[in-house]
Amino acid sequence: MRKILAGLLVLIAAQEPTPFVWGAAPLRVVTTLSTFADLVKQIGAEEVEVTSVAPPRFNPHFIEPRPSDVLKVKKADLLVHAGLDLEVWKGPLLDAAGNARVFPGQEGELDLSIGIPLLEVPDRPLSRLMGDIHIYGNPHYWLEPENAKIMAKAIAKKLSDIDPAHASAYQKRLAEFLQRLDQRLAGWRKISAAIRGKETVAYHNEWPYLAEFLGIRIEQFLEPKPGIPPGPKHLGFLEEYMKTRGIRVIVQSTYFSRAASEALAERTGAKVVTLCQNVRELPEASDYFSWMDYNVNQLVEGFKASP
Amino acid sequence: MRHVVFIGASALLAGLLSAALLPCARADSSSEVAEELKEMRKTLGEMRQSLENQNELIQKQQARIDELERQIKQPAATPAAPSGPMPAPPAPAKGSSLPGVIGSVLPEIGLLGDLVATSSQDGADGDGNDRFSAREVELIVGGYVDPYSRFDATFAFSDSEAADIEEAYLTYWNLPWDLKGRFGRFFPKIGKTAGIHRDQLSTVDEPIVIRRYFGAEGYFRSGADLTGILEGPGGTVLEPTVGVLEGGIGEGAATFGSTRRRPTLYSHLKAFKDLTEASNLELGISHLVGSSDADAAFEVNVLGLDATYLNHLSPSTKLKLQGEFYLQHRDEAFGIDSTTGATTQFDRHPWGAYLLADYKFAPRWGAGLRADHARLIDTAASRHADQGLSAFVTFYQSEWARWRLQYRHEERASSKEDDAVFLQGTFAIGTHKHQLQ
Repeated sequence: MRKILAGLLVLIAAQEPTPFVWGAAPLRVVTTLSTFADLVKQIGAEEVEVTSVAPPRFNPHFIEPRPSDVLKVKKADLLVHAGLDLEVWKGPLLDAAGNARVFPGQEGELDLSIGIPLLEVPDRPLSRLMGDIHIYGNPHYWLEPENAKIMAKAIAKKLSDIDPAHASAYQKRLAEFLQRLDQRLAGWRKISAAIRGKETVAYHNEWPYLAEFLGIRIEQFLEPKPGIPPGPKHLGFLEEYMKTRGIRVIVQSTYFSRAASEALAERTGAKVVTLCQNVRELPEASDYFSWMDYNVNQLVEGFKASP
Repeated sequence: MRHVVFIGASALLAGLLSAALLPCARADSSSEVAEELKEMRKTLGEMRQSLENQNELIQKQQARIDELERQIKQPAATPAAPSGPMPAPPAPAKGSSLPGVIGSVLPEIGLLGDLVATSSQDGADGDGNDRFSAREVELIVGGYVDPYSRFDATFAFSDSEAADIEEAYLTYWNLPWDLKGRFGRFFPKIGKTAGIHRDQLSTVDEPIVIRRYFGAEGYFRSGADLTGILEGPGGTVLEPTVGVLEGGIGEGAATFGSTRRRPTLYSHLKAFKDLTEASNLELGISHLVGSSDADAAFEVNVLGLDATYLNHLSPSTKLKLQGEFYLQHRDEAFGIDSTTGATTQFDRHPWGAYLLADYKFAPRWGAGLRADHARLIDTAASRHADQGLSAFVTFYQSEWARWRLQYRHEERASSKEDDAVFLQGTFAIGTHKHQLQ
């Protein structure tokens, strides 16, 4: 026993902090969400090898990281995540991987929420009585395409910082991405002008950034409180609410059960519009631009179908 | 503000008129006077136009101020009733995340309640039998010590037992070959069930083989272990672990003796493979070697095999199939209690296993079955094995609250049969964070 303990102590004492060494091989980037992975790929191209942890068709709040995810993070040069309190599973994943390069505050970590103008930042004491509230503000900021500019710039800067040999390539691709994004932004604004000012009801409070961009209102949700499944009483209230206000569209993401939304739609004559929270959530949303195209078109068509 | 502007403008006009008209009255030439008057009228006209423009601008600004003040006073959750197309909603409150800055330096603290009501044929006044019981309340505290290590502790309280330290360990990452080390009191990585907290179980109670061989609350000891993770063949992920633990065993188990200074060595190898994006298979093999009494000999070897298949059939449904098998090899056929001197005869090759199916068939509902069989180490009993069958239903009230109803039928080695019904409520507040399995 004494020998074992002595051996362990020698092992620990012999270690120096591991210096960061960035080789010529592609940077190994792990992102929590598939949307971030696509943005990293747009900027990093062949200079990066990017994978994501959360399967896009699952609710990003409740992912169960697998040993294969632990291995990915353990080998990662850079971890890109949403920050705030979206990925509650990120802490145990980081602890299991034990890769100090990507720990919070280290060079290999990028929190994309930094610099984002957050919505719904609490201005009063919080309690679980309010449901699964987000203590730092609504974390679904990547759905606002204007924020993609901030995220893309942050990604390009981080890649340039840790891989200066390819900095010019990252900056060139960033410029191309921003130019393309500006063109598409104008298109999305033009398409969505017809629905500006309209109101919809959503299953979960995960669309405020997209709603702000499109100029639509979302005041009520099928979940009576965040994370609390809808019950009959609340659905009854929503039925009255929608009928009173003439709301004809219910919005939800793919990973929530459609049963409650369908039932409410049947009682109110509304249409259920399924949107994607992340790239690759549906085959039609295969990259950042097609994903935004899909969401904007779905909403516009949804309102058209239920005037 | 508007009144002030009008008064000022009127005074200015009066001053200009009096200053202009008085010199006119004294003019010798009427034509010069007429010319001057014409020029002054023109100037006055320009000034009037400028004043009107300024008034218009002020009115617009005042309207904007009024609108902003109205938005500030209006509660965010009470939108005005829409009548036709509405303008774009005002931007909700934006800001930064100060709580994140503060939270990052405070330890994570969570409290977990495991409340169980049991009704059983067993007449013993045991742990929560035929009564409501606060079976376990866990206080979980943890946080980063420095860039290389993290400290986690779990304190367990119960209404039938003394408070206990289930976990208090340091995790250290900066080891050679990317190894991770733990030092302190923790759940070793043995199989799938012996090394987890009760709130992580699929059933209310532990499988019989875990209870009999490792302890009624799982197996947690003080010691140290090292874990690595690497790519294996065929796209597998391998996670080898080796460790040394203090002697002894968990509550009610008899695999090792009670002498804590005689260490137990353990090793575990996990092999994991993603079958699809939503399904995976995990196989594990565990080995423990320790002492059954106070001497230095390692008389007891335990070999464990485990397999888990997990399939997320949809974003809200999940199927878990799990099984574990343990086989012991005991060099000593007899054990002598160091305090009482009593002699116990042992089965030299006892074994036990369980099979579990847990199906979450709806976002809030799950159900499952478990079959148990475990041969006892102590051969004094007549039937030589405990076996049982359990069925359970789980209701997920919310992310932090869960209810479980379980029926269990057991046929015990002591020839007793027992039917029991459990109702369990598990509730979490604060940061509830256990290590990944």
